[in-house]
Amino acid sequence: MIYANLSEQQKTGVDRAKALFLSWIAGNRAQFSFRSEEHPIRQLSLLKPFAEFVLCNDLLLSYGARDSRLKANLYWAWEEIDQGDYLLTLLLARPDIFRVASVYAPLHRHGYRCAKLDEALQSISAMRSTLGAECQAWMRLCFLHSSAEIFGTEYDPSVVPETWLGLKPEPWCINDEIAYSLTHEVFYATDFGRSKCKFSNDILQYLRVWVPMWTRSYIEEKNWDLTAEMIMVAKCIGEVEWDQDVIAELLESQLSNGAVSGPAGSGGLLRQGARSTSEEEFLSDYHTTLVSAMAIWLAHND
Amino acid sequence: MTYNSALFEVLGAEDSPSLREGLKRLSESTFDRAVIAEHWIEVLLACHMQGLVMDPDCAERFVGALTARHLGICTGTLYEAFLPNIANRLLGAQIFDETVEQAYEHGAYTPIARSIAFGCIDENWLPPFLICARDACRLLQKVEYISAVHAMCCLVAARHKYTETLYRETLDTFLADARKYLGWSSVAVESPQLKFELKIYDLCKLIGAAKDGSR
Repeated sequence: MIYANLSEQQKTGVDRAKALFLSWIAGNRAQFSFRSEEHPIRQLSLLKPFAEFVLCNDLLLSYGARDSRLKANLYWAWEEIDQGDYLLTLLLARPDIFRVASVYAPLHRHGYRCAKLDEALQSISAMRSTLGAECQAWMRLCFLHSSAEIFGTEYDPSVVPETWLGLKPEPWCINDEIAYSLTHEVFYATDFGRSKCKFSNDILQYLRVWVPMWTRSYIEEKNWDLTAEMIMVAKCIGEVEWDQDVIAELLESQLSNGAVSGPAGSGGLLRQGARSTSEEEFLSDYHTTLVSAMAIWLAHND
Repeated sequence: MTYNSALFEVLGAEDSPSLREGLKRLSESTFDRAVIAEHWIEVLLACHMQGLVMDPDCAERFVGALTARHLGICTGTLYEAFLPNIANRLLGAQIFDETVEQAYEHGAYTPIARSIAFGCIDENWLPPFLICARDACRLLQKVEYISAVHAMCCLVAARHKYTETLYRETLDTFLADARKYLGWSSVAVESPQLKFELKIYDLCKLIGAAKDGSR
């Protein structure tokens, strides 16, 4: 349901949730810093929450959020990676982790540029080690999507045909890992809902039939992380007929501090290196909170 | 082998004489009376599928296995709408009251599936096909295979309602995949009941295809 058609009470609920999300994101910014960690391996691990923080701020701005803190957060992130030099150094030492281009792409979109990093990524994208790297399909799609943003090329998912959605498998065989791959295939194919979906009609129909069913299961499990991702998928592809009010379910899961609890075991490896209970709690919930914020904004950005 | 599986083995029998013999054997045993009471609708369905009319002795023993609760039939369900006349015809006597009304309950796929198999389906009983498809898929995910087949029966009967080509392709693919999956699953889990339900699904599919072709 579009925002304009909501009742006054529903609008109040959505607006309140949005305000809480913005406060949580800004209030927890320092926790997304990875530079405070000394060990390079730990820094590398913490680059994941950092990348998702950057993406979230970028997307909320794209979805129409008017809040100066979001732009300030992106500036802070740019400084956190030494205006691109940190990523450059990282890629020179480890060209195999080319997927860190996804940290740079949202910043690039907002005008933050590092010419040397651009050149390094261009060279790395042509390396045989990159082309032949044995990784999951969605990781390759992620790199292609980031490259499209950075180099102004067209994103073409058909160059990675071996995806789950490409085969339209038996829908009851989905699991959490597959679900994340699937949602990201959709996000990249639609530039996170900012452009027309690049999938064929049969894949879109497959998603329109089964996304609500998968979402229902995640709601039952109180897995708000994949619930929010599925809501985003539905909005990205459009014309999805829901059997229930999924937004209301998601909004109800938001805590008074703005966070949304992650599913059991979330942030597992990240949490192993946590230095305090509060950091552990943060690492458990941050992803679900960010993706819930993105889902609410994408669903009600009219 | 449990009495339940024995019953479904009999119900799945291809020829009427073995079914007749099976019914007689079941109705003669005091222990098996409970099984009949529990699965009487399936027994009627199996008879109906094979065009069988029970001989009076068999019908008497069969009805004798049913309690007042069964004869009163479950109020408020679809059974009311189609079972009495079918049952009376099979049993060759006015055992059931044929004047009761039908009612639709969301998610109650079993009575609808049975009514399709009995050939007594009313279009208004069919659930919305998208909900039906999603429920069938969820039930498969939960390994609730019998209920999944019942939802699939409803979906295949509603096939003529989804006219958009892409829906057809998506849902037809789902039904074909699910049928194949349940087919080998029924062998793997050695479930006579699942095999029986799949026979009913195949029957519903034929009925659905006939209805689809006549439009």
